[in-house]
Parts: sequence; structure tokens; C-alpha cells
Amino acid sequence: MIINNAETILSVQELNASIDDTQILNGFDITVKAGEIHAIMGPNGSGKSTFSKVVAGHPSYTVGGGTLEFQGKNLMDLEPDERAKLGIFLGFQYPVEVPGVTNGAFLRLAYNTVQKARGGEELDPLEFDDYIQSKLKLLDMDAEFLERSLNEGFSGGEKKRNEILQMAILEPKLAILDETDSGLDIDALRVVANGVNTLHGDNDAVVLVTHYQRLLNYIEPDFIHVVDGGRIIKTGDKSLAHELESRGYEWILEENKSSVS
Amino acid sequence: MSDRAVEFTASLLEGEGVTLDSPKGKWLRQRQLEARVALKEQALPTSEEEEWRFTDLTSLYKNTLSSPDDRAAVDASVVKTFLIPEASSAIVLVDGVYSAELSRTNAVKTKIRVTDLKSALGDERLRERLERQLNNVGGDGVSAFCEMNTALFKDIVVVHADNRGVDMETIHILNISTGKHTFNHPRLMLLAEKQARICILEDYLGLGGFGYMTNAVSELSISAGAEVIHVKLQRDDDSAFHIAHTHVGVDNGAVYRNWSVSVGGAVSRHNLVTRQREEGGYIEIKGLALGHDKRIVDTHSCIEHTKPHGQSNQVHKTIAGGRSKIVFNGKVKVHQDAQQTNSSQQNRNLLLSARASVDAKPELEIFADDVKCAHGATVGQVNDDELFYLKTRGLDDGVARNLLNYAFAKEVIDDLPIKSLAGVIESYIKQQTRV
Repeated sequence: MIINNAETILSVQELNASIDDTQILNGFDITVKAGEIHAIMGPNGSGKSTFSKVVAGHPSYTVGGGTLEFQGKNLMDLEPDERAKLGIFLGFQYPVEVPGVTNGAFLRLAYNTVQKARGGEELDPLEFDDYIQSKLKLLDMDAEFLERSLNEGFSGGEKKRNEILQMAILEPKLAILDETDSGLDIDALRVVANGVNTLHGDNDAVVLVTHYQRLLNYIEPDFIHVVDGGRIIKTGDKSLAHELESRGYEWILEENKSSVS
Repeated sequence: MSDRAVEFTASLLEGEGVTLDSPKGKWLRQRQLEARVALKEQALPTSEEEEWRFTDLTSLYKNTLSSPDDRAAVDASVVKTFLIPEASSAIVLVDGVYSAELSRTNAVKTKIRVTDLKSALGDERLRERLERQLNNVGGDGVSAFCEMNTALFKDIVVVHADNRGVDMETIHILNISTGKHTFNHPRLMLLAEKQARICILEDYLGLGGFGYMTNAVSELSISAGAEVIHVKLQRDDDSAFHIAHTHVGVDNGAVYRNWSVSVGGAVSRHNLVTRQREEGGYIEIKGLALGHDKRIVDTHSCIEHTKPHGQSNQVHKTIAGGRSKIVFNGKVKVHQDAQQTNSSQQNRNLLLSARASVDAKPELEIFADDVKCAHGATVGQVNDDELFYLKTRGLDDGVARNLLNYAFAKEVIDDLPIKSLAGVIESYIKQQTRV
């Protein structure tokens, strides 16, 4: 929801980033305010996924220039865990499987680490067990999930639910969800979307990075941005998504080329 | 042959073996004598020998070790903290000698007998089995250390399982070292009769001991249809030398499952030789070796398939931190007769420090043409994607790395049948994989 005079959560200007000497982001600009939902769309290889990783602080990317600020604070020199403690959450397209680490123990460790950094209260295993029940319910997850190894052998849908479960306990100011809809059947998509809608409020922001319009039927964005060549080439409201659905990306790319030349 | 190794060998041979004065033990004294003679021909190995190329024993040979004659008193309440609730019997050896006082056996209600050498010799059937199997369970991998054990063991822990049709029982054999610069040569013989089911924990630790050498030999003879679970936990003092030979013979359709965990010692070497002696059978070996500080951990395993339709599955994981040195030599030998063998071996090594090293060598010798043998060995560092994932959840670099190291190691013991031990091993992993 667009709120007048809302706090700026994320401010990105003229951001350049490269990996192994290949430049991926090329003058990326975006401003995200509290209460808003943004969708970043674009063809494969456009740089939308890179954008999400750069904001979260992936070490493989080198930022070459521009500004990257979170609630007015420069993120450039911060480690991924410091960004997480500030309130940045990245929902992974391919959540990593970590055999040997139980999901429940990991979630509590993450929760307590972030709580401690924010001056909140840490929970012992029993208290955490109580705390997480409502979050599990929100995502229609069985408590048995907590006993399994982190993401190991999870189906695509289970992995994505587990990502939103992590979002639920980490209570981010900014949640960037990278291709959260990929690999989901329609029921799982509903559950995940419902989770995001429930968790989102007036004081935080959500950025959906997605290739398809499908997710946007369930999570309604305030802004839609189309990315190509490592920057945003068009911004519109929800209706832009429908246009993309029926016409594809080509016309925008063409439009952009002609306006540049 | 280095002078140092020869001198060290000779100094150990000043010790005595079995002192039992019974006519039934005559054959045994003869064997000990033969081993002694053999050691005069061939001293303990040096790194000039191929089998010991990566493990330098100079730090052992420059010691003067003595027989642990003055045994320090061991506090029973301390021993108790190491015992596992799953075990029906706990056999405690102090510096290689059986302690009736510290042990507890519960043999009345079961068909598993745990005895010392003296009682075993008194039972004609057992004596005959012992004489036939001693040093004859089968397989390659007998080194001069094994010979040294044969020359010098003072007792044998004999476990005889004849419990077909009843539940699996767990026996804990706890080897405690209290000596300072002493040696001991513990010997174990497990005889599993047809369809017997037994789980043994072979456990080594130091209580006040320092710079001691444990030179253990364990032989397990597994008859047709039997199932043996064998957990070897080497948690000796950080100053100790631990040399161990495990020889296993697996008969028709029998199952042998081994977990070998090395989390102690300054220098350790485990020769684990399993031999499928008859058709069928299943051998599973899971190994975990943790190297930290300047520790050397060497595992030489050999799985030998001699007859058709055998299956084996081996997973060996190691973590090398600090300036440690990890050695793994994993041989799988499939004889010409062993058609339709199905064998897999996986060796994964995690290198935590630039000053640590890993020498990994899978060795396949296959003489049969209709077999499936998969193997793979990797040496790697912590995965960057996994690390990034954990860090985006707020975990700082050190915590995230610890968690991943821990998870890597823990996978080996996830299905350990002795549940209480999993927690014990986990705490060693946590301590020793800290970044």
C-alpha cells in the first residue's frame, strides 16, 4: 500500500555491480518505502536476481559504483549477517540444503541471533517451540518440519514455505523474495502468498523478483518495474503486469531501445 | 629400517606377554614367541615403507616407553560418566588390563559371554575357536604393530555371541589409559555365531595418561547370518599415540556395520580390514576423522570381496583444521570369484586451514568382470553458497562456518544405533571444528 510520507526503506541509485569482470547491474535505481510492495520483472539474464543478491551482500559480486542505502544507512561495507540483523531478508530462489543441521535448531539460532542484535528477548527451546507454532500454522506446515535437516530432501514447495517461515521469524523491514513462485503448484502458491500478505504491514516493504505474472495475482504489487540490461527500464502500476502477460517483454525492450537511440 | 625404529622395537620387547601358567595356554605362548621372533626380523615401520609414507612415527620412536606397572587408581565415579546406558555389559580395561572392579557384566540372562583369556581357555569350545581365529580372521593389512600386539598382549577380551533370535545387545569395552609414557596392547576377539546379533562399542580414552601408546588389535569373526554393529571411538589424550588394527571376517549373508570415529591422539593410525569370506554379506563402514592442532590421523581401510554377491558401502569423512594432517587410504579389492559384487566408496575431506593437509587415496583392485564399484574422493572447503545462505539469516561468519563443519561431520553419525553416543560424539565435533 502506498502511504504518504512513508519512511524510505531502500534507496538505490546508479548502482553498478559485476561478477568475474562481467558487469551485470548497470545504473540500477529504485526507491522502496514502508508499506509498499514492488515487483521486479524481466527476462532471464536481465539482472533482477543479481540485484537481490547484491542488496543481501553476496560476496561474489563487486559493487563498482552508485549508492545502496537501507533506512538511510549505507550498506556497502556490511556483511550479509549485519544486513540481516538490520532487517533485510532474502528469500532464495534455490534454498540451500544443509544436511546435519536440524531445521528447528537452525531457526532458533537465527531467531535468537537477530533478536539479540535488535535488543530483543532470546528464547530457549521450549519457549521457541511455543512461539513457532502460530508461524507454522500460517504456512500450513507440520511441526515435523522442525525435526528434519534444513531443506534436505524438501520438495520445491516445502523449501519455499520454509523460506517464508524464516521471513516470519526474522521479521524483516525489507523482504526480497527471489523467484518465490518458481516450482510451486497452485495450492502451495496460495499458501506462500497468504503468508507474505499476512506478514506484510505498514512498516515494512516487500520486493518480489519474478519472471512470471502469476504470483502477482495473489500478492498485489503497488509498483511493477521491468529490468533489462542491468537497470530498470520501465515502471508502472499493477496493470503493467497484465500487459506483460499478454504481450511479453519484447515490446518494452523495443520501446526502450528506440527511446535510447 | 631406521636405527630409531629398531631400538624402539627392541625396547618394547623387553616387556612380557601372557603370564598365565596353564597347559591350555601353551599354544598361545608359542604364538607370542613366534611374533617376538618375527619382530627381530622386521622392526616397526617407518615412513620409508609405502604403507606408512604419509605418517611419520619419529615422534613416537624417540620416546622411551615403559610397561604401565604402577597403575594409578581410577575413580569409579569418573568411569561411570563414560558408560553408556544402552550397554548391558561394560568391560573396563585400565592400561590394557581388565579391571573386575570397574567392569559390570550382565551375562546371566543372555547368551552373550564376555570373558577374559583365562576363562576362555577353560571352556574347550571357546578355546578351540580362539586358537583357530587368532590372527586368522583374514585379510591383508597386518603390520609389525599387529605382530607387536600378538607378542605382548597380556589378556584377551573374548566376546562370544550365540544369541540367535533375541534382541540385539550392546557391550561397551572401555580402554582407559592412565600411564605417562607407557604402552599397552589391548586385544579383543569377537566371535559371533550363526545368526547372532550384537553391538559392541570399542572405546579408547586417557584419564591422567600422557604420551602413552595404545597398540590395539581387534578381531571379529562373523558367522553366517549374524549381524554385528561395531563402533570404535578413539578419544585418546591429545598427547597419545594410538595404533589400531581391526580385522573382520564376514561369512555367508552376515552383516557388519562399522562406525570408526577418531577425535583424539597426537598420532593415530587405524588399519581396518574387512574380508567377505563367503557368498553374500553386507559390509558398511562409516568413518569420521577430525584433525586439529598438529594431530595426524591416518586411516587405512581395506574391503575385500572374495566370493560372489557381496555388498559393501563405505563413507569416510574428515575435517583437517590447524596444522593437522589427515591420511586416508581406502582399498577395495574384488577377487576374480567375487562376481556381482556391489560396492561403493565415498571419501569427502574438508580442509579448514591452509596449513593443514589431506592425503586421500582410493585404491580399487578389481579382478572380476561383472561387478558394480562406485567410488569418489573430494577435498574441498566450505561451500560459499551455503555460507551466504546462513549469513543472510543473521549468523556471523564464524558461527555459520562452525555450523557447516559440524553438519558435514555429523552426517556420518546420524544413523548411529547407540543413540546416547551420538550426543557424545557431537560434542567432540563441536569442540574440534570451531573456527
